Amino acid sequence: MSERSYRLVLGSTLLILIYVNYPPLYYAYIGLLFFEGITNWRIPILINRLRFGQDHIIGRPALACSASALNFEAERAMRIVFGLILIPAIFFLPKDLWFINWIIASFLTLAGLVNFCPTVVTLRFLGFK
Amino acid sequence: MKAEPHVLSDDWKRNWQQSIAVRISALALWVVLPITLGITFYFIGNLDQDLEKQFLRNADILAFQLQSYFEENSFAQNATLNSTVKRLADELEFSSVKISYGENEWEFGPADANAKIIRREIKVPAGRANEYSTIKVYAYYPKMDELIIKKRNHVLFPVVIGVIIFGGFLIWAIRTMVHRPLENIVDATRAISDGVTDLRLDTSRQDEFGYIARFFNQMLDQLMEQQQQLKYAVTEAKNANDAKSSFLANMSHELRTPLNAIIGYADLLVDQATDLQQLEYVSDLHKIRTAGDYLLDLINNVLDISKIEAGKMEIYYENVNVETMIGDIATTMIPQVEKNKNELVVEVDGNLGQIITDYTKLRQIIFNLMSNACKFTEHGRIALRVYRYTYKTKEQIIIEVEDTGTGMSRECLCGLFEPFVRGRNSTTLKISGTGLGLAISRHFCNLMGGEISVDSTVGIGTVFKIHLPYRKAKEEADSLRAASACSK
Repeated sequence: MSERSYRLVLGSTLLILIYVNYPPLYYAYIGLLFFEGITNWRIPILINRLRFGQDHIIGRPALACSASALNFEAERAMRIVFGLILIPAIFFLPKDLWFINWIIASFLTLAGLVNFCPTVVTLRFLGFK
Repeated sequence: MKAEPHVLSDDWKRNWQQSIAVRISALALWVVLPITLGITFYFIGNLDQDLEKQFLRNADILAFQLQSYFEENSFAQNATLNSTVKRLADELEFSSVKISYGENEWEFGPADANAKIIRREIKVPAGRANEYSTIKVYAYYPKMDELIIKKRNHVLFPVVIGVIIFGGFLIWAIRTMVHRPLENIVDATRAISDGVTDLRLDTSRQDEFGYIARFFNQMLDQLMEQQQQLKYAVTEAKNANDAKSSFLANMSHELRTPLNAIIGYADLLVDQATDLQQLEYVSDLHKIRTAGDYLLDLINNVLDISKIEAGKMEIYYENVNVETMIGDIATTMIPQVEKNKNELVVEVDGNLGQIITDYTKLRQIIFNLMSNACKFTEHGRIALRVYRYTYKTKEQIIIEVEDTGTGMSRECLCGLFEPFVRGRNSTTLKISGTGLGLAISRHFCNLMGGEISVDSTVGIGTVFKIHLPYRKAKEEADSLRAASACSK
């Protein structure tokens, strides 16, 4: 499973959660984002390890002696960023920040569809791996 | 440390995500989606206020509808009233309606303690003239939060799904209009680079790809034509080369054989004439002999230059005793030197010993230079020097031919070593020669890994220098090593 496909899954899942509007599912979703971001046990990596073994590279291959300033992957950072954005929208100001969920869900879905995520690109530009 | 490049697979079809179709679609969608969402959010941003206003309007409509009903029908709770109120409640999206008349209350729909209430009063005729009863109508509508979410979902889901479907359509459209023609061009280019030459692109399209296809086919036709011409030229060149080799092989024998016969018979006749005391014929026979020698020289030079240009000239390395060779040459050249009353000086470095070189060609080169020096010097001095020289750690053997002849101007030196070029000094016009000797000498020097140079001053003289790599003969080297081993 590539990061691209997983973004499509994440986006579609959030759209479904918005439709269902069941708060415990939102909590689980945010928890999953933070879990992946902090531990780097990302679901695409885990699935590919199960399917192909330890050294299979998915998505953009890691560059030897990369020029990135930070030793932190942009995909991980993306998950943490989205989680941090969703927290106020779901927990604190759901009535005023209702549109945040829609934006995150739509953008994730589109990023999965066209394999271009501006958030990941911006994070790489800022120095993430 | 430099980053390693990300290597793209040669099978570019597997990298479809990098294709133009996807990139253009991504660009379009990343513009369309935010704009669409922004516009939609703008219009549904005040949904709660709009719903409030809508329910107030609906409550007015409900009250008006009920007033009309009660004016036509007397107030009585019956099936007609139930169905009318329920119908109105459904149409106007109220969760329930309560009607209060006097001390009685009737509820139509499920009660909801959290629902919001809109209250209206309607006046209905009481039965007596100018008397009206007041009926209170309470319209209940559900929790705004859930209603708002429901309304938003009803608007935004179609929008988002619509944009995604539009994106899919866009990718399909660009793939059909742009990606597939490009794919065909790439496939054709790849096939041609693999050697398939009879491939042509479809030129039926009227757009830019049609133009590309037409010009691509034209370019391919021209390339094929040029390739054919090149093949033909290569065949012609090969045939010319073969003809040249055949000429060299045949003419070498055909030309030299009769000439050698002429020269040989001229010598024979000179001897016979001398023996028979018919000395008046000797000078004529010497002229035949001289003309024959000159012609033989000419033929040899022409054949040599042809052989060199055909790349057939080879070098035969052998051990050569330098002192002996120079001595032979000097002895042979004495008649020519003395012909113009010149003096010959020979200086040979005693440490040269034996070297590895092509004896015949080196002899020919030195004869050429000495012959030229003799031709262009009168009552002067011709020096032949041979010595060793070390240039940038490389050992060389230098053979110098110096004369005190007429010399050559700087203009005459230009192209001196080119075939058929003679010095433009007026003197050269009176002196015989084909202009091939120096060209052949230069080629021989180059073949032996060396070079030839000239320096000349008009009225002072000319110096020709041959630079050759100094390769000591193997036997002498082995004996030197053996001598050195014994001395230890």
